Amino acid sequence: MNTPNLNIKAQESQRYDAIVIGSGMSGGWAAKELCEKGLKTLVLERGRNVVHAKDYPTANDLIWDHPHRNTTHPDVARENPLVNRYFFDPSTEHFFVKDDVHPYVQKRPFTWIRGYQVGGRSLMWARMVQRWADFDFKSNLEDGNGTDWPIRYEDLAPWYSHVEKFAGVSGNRDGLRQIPDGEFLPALGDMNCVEKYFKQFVESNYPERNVVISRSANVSQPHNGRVCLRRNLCRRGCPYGGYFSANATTIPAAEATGNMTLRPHSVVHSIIYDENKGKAVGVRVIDANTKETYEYFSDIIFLNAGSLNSLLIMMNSTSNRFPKGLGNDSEVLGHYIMHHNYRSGAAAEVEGYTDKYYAGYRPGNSYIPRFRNYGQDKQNNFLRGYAYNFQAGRSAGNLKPTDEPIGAAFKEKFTELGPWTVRAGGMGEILPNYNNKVYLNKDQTDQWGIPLLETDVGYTENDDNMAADMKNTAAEMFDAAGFKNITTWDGNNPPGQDIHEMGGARMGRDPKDSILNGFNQMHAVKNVFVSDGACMTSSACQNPSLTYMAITARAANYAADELKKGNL
Amino acid sequence: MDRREALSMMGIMFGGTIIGAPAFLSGCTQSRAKPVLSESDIVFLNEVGETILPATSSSGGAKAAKVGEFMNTIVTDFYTDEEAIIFADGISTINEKSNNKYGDTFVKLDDKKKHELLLELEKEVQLSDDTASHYYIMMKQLSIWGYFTSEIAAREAFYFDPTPNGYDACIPYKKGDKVMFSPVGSGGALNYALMSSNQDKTA
Repeated sequence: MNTPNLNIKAQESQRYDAIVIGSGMSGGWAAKELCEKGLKTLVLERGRNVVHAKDYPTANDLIWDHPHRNTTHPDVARENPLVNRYFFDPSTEHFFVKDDVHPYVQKRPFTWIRGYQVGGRSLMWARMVQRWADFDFKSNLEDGNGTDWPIRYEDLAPWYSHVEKFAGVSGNRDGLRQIPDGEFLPALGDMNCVEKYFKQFVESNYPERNVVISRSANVSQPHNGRVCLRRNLCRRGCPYGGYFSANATTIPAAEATGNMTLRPHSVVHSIIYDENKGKAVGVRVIDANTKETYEYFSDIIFLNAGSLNSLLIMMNSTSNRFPKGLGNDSEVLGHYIMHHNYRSGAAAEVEGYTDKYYAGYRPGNSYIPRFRNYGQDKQNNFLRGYAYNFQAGRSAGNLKPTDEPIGAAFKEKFTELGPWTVRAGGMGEILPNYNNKVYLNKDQTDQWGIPLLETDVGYTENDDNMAADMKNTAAEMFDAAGFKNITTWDGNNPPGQDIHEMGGARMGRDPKDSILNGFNQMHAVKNVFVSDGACMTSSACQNPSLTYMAITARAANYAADELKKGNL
Repeated sequence: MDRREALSMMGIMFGGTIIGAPAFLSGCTQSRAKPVLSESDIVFLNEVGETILPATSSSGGAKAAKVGEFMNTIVTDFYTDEEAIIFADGISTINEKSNNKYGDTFVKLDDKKKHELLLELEKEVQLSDDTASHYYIMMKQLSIWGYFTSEIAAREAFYFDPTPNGYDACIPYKKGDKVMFSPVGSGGALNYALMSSNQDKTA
């Protein structure tokens, strides 16, 4: 590593109150909150800038405008087996990291889907935003897996409200303990008639099982100048700001304060620790294009590089004081990586309701909150539980093998509305496990000379048993509801495809077995805060982004207050 | 139904495996350069497409949707040399069959004879062990793919509203009402095919 010769003047001009590393789901929130608290804030983003609306080149494309009808070229699919597993196609590919551009090493198969640009993966996410339950913050304590969360639901509740009000969350107030109610805009739409039937069936036959409309970070009515036209093209970037992305919301809000400096193309090499001061003093950055090194200095540093990349930066920030990575006295850094178990589920056909249909799009599905190991339910072969992403729908195509294979009748059958189908995909909690880990590869570096990350993450017996139950229970409910032609799957697909990788720098009560305290502050380096998914102590089974946002807003407000008090 | 059966059924109904599937025809020796389709080939392909998905009183057909041009684009850009050779040779084979049976090339046959000839190819494919690499299946799949992602199909064969600005969860439907066109993602036609067959969802 060549440390550039920076004179004092240059250092002064590169001084800020705060530096935020990362500009996505959580980094955008850190930037907004710190800037609104009056802190001069530098936001470092390793990728290019993506300006809301202006940089969504495919947002209004129609499928026939594309020569290949928005289908990925077979060579591109073959060259990108990892990213091609997610919503990667010609209309979205400019937001995804192609496999060979930023390699990583998989000791066990792990799919790491990344979006290196301002806004990160907040541009392409699935927008499901259930709050965590009170018991989710206590599961580790109760069953002894992982360490106890240093916070409880009550600590986070006001911050859930804070981020929901700004982000715009649509949903019903369902009154369920598993997914507490929040500050909701009206739901995006009602359930369709088959979903309503299934809700009624499930809720009257299974105590403590519910079917609700998923809370979604789409705005069902005009909200802060944003509107959702129900185009259902969210992942291309929405020029109307119909859903929450950092680009459409937090980054412009931070910019509006006049306190933000956004520096794209800034690959963070490491955080600079000053042993005399006993704290971090700045960040070492490599310009992605010129490969020149710069140093930026600040009073506080927020690490929001996107879970695994935040871990990579911590591990690469070594010093005499921290030879095993910044803040890693406990040596748990990189361990207890979690994700969500999305392996299995069931689908079926529904007889009847052939005179019913729906109009328009509802860019969100229905949701069956956790019911396993909850209330009176007790499973004997797995801990914790799962939710289902549930939907019913109808598509064109009403062909049977005996129908005419060509001609007018064939075409008519192909355009005719087919039967109703239902689908429930499980979303399971993963236990914190020491052996699920990431670390720096000893031999290989990237094009900026930074070690590659190596992933060693896999399923455990708890996950296998839960996957089997997710599949079988969905099939049982469909069968009991009278649905036909039930199919089930357990793809046993490599972890990571859910894009919920988290943990590795967990929050905890004891510096001996955790990296961060209850305010996402490093136990050992008080002016460094980690508030993206890396901070997670357990995974629950809810989609995690809303919780990252709330945790980040809370941590940023705490950090700004501590700084003003002179405590950092 | 197992995956093999499902794929085989899909092959018959919807036109073979997904184009560009890995190692689709690996192991074949490349005997000659990738063929280039001519204007008259595109005219021919539009007629094949129109026979599979003809214009009706309610919506334009494959020819109006220019599926011949679309087939040319995919064969040129996506197909391997081996696939393109099978595809191009298929054009000659269909014209030979047409000449043998009716004494004229395919394009010049009336609609009824075109339909009859393609029905014979449907039967031939059903007896084949390797539907995916049959030229007729390639043509049928590309016809379906091209037509059901075309503007003509979206606006005439379906109901298309790119900005519905609302969602009505339950409306009445009767046979003959138009279905919403799905603008999302790659290969709407392929999604329709997957949704309407009973194929194993793990495939």
